[in-house]
Amino acid sequence: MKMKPAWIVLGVIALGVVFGGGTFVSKWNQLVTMDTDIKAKWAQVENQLQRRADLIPNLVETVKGFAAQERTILEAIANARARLAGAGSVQDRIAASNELSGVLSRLLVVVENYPQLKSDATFIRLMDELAGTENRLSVERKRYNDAVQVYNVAIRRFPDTLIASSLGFKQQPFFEVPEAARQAPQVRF
Amino acid sequence: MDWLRRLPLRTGLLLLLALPSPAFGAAPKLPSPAGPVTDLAGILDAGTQQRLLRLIRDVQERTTAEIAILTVPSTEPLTVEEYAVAIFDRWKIGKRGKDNGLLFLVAVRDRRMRITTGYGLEGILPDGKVGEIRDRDIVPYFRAGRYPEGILRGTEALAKVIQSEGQGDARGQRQQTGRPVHGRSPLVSGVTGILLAVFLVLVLFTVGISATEGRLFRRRRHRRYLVDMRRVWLEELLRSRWVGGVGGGSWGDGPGGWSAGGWAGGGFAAGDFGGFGGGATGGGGAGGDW
Repeated sequence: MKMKPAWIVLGVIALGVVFGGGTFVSKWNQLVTMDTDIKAKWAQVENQLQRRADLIPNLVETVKGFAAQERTILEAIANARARLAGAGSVQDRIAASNELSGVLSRLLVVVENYPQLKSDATFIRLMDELAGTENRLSVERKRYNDAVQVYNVAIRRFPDTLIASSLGFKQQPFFEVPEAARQAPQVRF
Repeated sequence: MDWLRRLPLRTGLLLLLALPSPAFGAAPKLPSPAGPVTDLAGILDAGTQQRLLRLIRDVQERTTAEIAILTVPSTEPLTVEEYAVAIFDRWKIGKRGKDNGLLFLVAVRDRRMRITTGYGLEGILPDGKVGEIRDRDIVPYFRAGRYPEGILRGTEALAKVIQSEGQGDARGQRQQTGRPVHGRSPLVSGVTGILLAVFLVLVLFTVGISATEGRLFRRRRHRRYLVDMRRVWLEELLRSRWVGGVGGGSWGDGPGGWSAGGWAGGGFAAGDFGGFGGGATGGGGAGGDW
């Protein structure tokens, strides 16, 4: 029996489709899992951003009780917080969060001039909560960045990148903190 | 043109192997626990250590919460906060699922300390309360150079809160998503590929039958030929299923470290100390210097 070339070609194509299909599906599933992991980790980051935002009104009120004349910094805090509330995309929220961190650091410097404020029990407690929140934010940020790192590598490696781009998987942004603001507000008395 | 056909595959494989694992940064060497109390800075006398161990065991028996005490000369190059979280992630203090662990870290040369609470203790030991304990029961003694007493009093105060306010099941802001997500194993991905292959086989077979239902090929010779071909196809596809599955698997073998992240490092061996329970932290707690 002679094998017609046409059938051989069809057979090879069928093989290719099966092979490719298996690869495609498995890669797709992995990317979906990674993408979902990133979203979950970002949700944790958001938790901490929210927690920090919730602490701020109390903090502002306490500071006002001792240093009402420091209007500049208090307004800066209010503005930064509003900006964070208004930020939509991941990148915008990252930028707004960094701005808020910067403003809070400046507040600490200002507070140095008010020893009564520094020794106020409520203020100390609030600053502890804030420092704890900053640390949590730092931890969740690192976990998020680790997940983004893995994902970004996975969708850019060859040949996975062909599959990823055909399915619409895009690179995700890292949560980067500018060098100057990298120090979390330290509680030092 | 054999060399041309072989080249891309080999280069591709080399590139894949050469890619670094996505683990972030070089992790400094973290110590293993010598028990609930690990005194690497040598500031605790035997008597205090015994009392601490007894206290910690009491807390564990009554509430399942795990307390770990670690003293080191310095946490450099990490900050005390980073170091505390790194240790917590490595040692996994607290019961898995409950996350009721607590780490009391003292860096003697740096003159910095930090108490880190697991997710499950954040409800009864919020940062403010931990700060209070720090200011009242720890730092005054540390300032006077009385480290054993400071650590003992601090631990007693923390233990008191844990025992009086229940097992610390309050989750605070913890989401279930705090746990690492593990990727699908290549085996599962391969199985999916196999199912797809089987589906394709059925489709092709059906198409094959319907296309050659005898109308166009009246001559017996041709029909037999077509039936034979279909059987050959089937055999080829059945054989290729395994190739497809394995192939799918090999591409799917992502770097092993991706789900590990901050959870890298498994257990630890330390004499008759059984190890901690697998708990996690989000980085909460309070610290300070003296």
